Amino acid sequence: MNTVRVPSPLRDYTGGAARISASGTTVAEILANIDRDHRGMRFRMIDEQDRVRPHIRIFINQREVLSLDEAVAPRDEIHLICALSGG
Amino acid sequence: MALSANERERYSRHLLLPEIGEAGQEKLKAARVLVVGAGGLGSPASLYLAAAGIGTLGIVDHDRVDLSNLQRQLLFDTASVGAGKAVTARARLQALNNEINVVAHAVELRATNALELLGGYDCIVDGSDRLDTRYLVNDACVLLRRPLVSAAIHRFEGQAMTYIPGQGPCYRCLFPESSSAVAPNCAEAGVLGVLPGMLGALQATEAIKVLLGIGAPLVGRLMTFDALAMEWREFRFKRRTDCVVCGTAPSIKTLTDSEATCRTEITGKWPRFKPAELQQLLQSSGGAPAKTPLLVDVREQHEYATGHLAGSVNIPLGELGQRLPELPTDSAVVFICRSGRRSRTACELAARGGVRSVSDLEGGLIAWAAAIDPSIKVA
Amino acid sequence: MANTLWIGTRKGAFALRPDARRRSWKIAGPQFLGHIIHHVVQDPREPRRLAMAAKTGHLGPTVYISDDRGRKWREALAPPAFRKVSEGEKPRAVERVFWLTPGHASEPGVWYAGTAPAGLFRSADHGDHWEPVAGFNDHPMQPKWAAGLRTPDGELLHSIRVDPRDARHLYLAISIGGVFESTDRGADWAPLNEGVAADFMPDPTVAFGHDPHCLIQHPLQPDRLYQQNHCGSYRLDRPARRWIRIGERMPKNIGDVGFPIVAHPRDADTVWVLPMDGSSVWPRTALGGKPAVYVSRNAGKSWQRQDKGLPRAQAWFTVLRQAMCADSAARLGLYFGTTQGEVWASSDEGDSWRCIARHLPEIYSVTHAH
Repeated sequence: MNTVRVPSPLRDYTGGAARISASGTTVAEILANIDRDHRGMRFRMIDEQDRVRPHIRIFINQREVLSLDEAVAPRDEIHLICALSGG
Repeated sequence: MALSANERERYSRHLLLPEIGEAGQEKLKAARVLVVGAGGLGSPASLYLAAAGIGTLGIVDHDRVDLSNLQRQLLFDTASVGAGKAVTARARLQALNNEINVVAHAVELRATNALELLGGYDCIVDGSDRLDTRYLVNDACVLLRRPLVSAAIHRFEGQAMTYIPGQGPCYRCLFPESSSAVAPNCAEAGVLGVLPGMLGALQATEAIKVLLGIGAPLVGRLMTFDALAMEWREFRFKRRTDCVVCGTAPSIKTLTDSEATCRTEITGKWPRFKPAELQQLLQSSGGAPAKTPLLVDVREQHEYATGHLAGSVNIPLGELGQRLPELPTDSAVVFICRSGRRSRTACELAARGGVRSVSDLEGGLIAWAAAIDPSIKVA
Repeated sequence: MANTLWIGTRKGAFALRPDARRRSWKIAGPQFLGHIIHHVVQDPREPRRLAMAAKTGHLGPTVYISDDRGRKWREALAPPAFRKVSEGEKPRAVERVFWLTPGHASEPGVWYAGTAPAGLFRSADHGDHWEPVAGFNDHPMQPKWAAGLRTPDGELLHSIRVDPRDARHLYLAISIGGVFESTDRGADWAPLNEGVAADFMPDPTVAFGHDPHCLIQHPLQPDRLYQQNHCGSYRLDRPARRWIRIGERMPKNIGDVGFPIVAHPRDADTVWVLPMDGSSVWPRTALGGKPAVYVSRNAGKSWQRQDKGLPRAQAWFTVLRQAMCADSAARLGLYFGTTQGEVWASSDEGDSWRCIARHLPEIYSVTHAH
């Protein structure tokens, strides 16, 4: 099981939870499992060509995810980061 | 730039630090920093930068102080509600440190004026509250090769990163494009008042480090802060070779506003007078007040004092936004500056502010001196 | 609930509901505060059903649907999305869902959606699942018809019209791209832009590449089309193919540029426009700061100004293409919403106007629901 940190704009899908659990050995698997539990959430982050949307970044621990095929280890933390704009 | 006795005392705690010392403090005195947005982030950032002795500190903001700003924007107090932010901030910062020069730019940062505005500074601190402004500032910094310290806040969360040309990724490498998206700002989503204090102070720290070349700035590092969890986190990211502005084959080579055709004006459409045309216009109007255009010199006061066109009035560009009501609505206005760049911005500002007939002098006073009157002194 | 005006804004959706005489209006909402709502549309075949085109600044585009007149909404299970491209193809992704049109009366549950970048999508289950309309999205000419010329909100596919006599007969418009027609339920398409000016093009007589802002088809006389274009107002009576510039008859100092165009639902010759300043730099605001509606009661041969009750001076709003509509009352009501967040209403066919809501966010759409 991996911990996934959810930014506030996506918390409508998680019942307000800032962290959820999902399992998977790649980022793609984890996203698929997130979408199974929180239907519709993946498409708000990932477009139909499997590209991460422009204002979203995904990190495994501190490392940026460049491909959804990247491997995820059992204790890795997944961070979904949304661009903030307030000043 | 040598320090005076007063300055030595004022900055004595900096002088004690070997990483800064007299040489470092002199560097700060010679430095020019622009803070974009006098809001939650811009307040602490500019207060600390002013206190730290940044020699020239610019503040861009075309907004006015609202009562709801005071919960977090420490530049302002209850008495400043309703006043222009840039000018009020200047007074506050100048009161904090009279050794430095604070410049108020009461203009909206746009594609048409960003390069000129940012180009006059060594380091940019972005505390704006719009995503499209963030991209505009980023792109301008990349094109001008200026370091950028960027931060943003939302509810209980903050983000910060630093861009140094040639040393790491830019904001677009992190979040690639702006499209015409609107992300929620503090007015809509709410924000913990203290939060920008944390991030704005971080920005001032980064700017000082960048100017002095000390320490490890947030290059290629996204710093996030969660006030509820009281957690700082750091994420590493790399420059994208396909980045549209800082990549190997950039497609962004000039700036454009995200709002383009079909819904807003395209700039640069106001008439420009060549020096000879303006001279003819002034002579033909024969001094009849209804026909004579008002000449508005938008340079700084000291430039105007050195030499100006007879009959022109001085409204520095930074004050124009506030002083638009002084302009006539029934006769033409011709803006004048040194080279014809600030006057373009003035045209745009005035036209947007409802002044009906705006134009400017092409090539500015430099061109006028060359073509018409070599005796005029151009600062 | 007799009448509802749905207001889609840059920051959420609102509903305005009148008393029986349409004199006082109550506002409800916001729903989806902070979301960009481009369109809220009722299904005339099943009035309890509605669909809403939405996105937020950060997140992908989606559609929400309601089957209880907008009290509760649920997200589409498969929102409009282009097909996954194969290797070497240029990838396309929906940036925003911009337009929604209920399908033909004989096809309950069918909806069409238009997106930016220009894409056409179809749902057969009331909006739960959306499929790309390959006949348009993968038409060999599509990359030329929709060449990627963007309005500030992207390259918009809008004004999808389904012929009430024939479910196979469709029109749509692309801004920027032009008007297109299909007679085989979207399997093939052809441009329909003859006679329309395209002043901004190097060759103004091109077959496509125009900038229709809004295209309407009269429900009772479906051969009658009107179009408000970036370059003027037009009428077309099919089967003719050449648009007539009815805006030529507008006063010269007013011109015929604007975004919406609205027809009287019971009289195909009566049509309203809301002229905006289209001078050299395209301010797109009310002319001279004096907003006015213009009505023609003879299919565009002559126009009358209707500005009673509207601000007399210094009102500089813009009214966007989805932000004007009519109701269906015996004495027709007309409504428009401004970029400054005001809703204006007329309950006498435009003769007089009153502001029925203000201080809303920037208004994208005003639609009438029964």
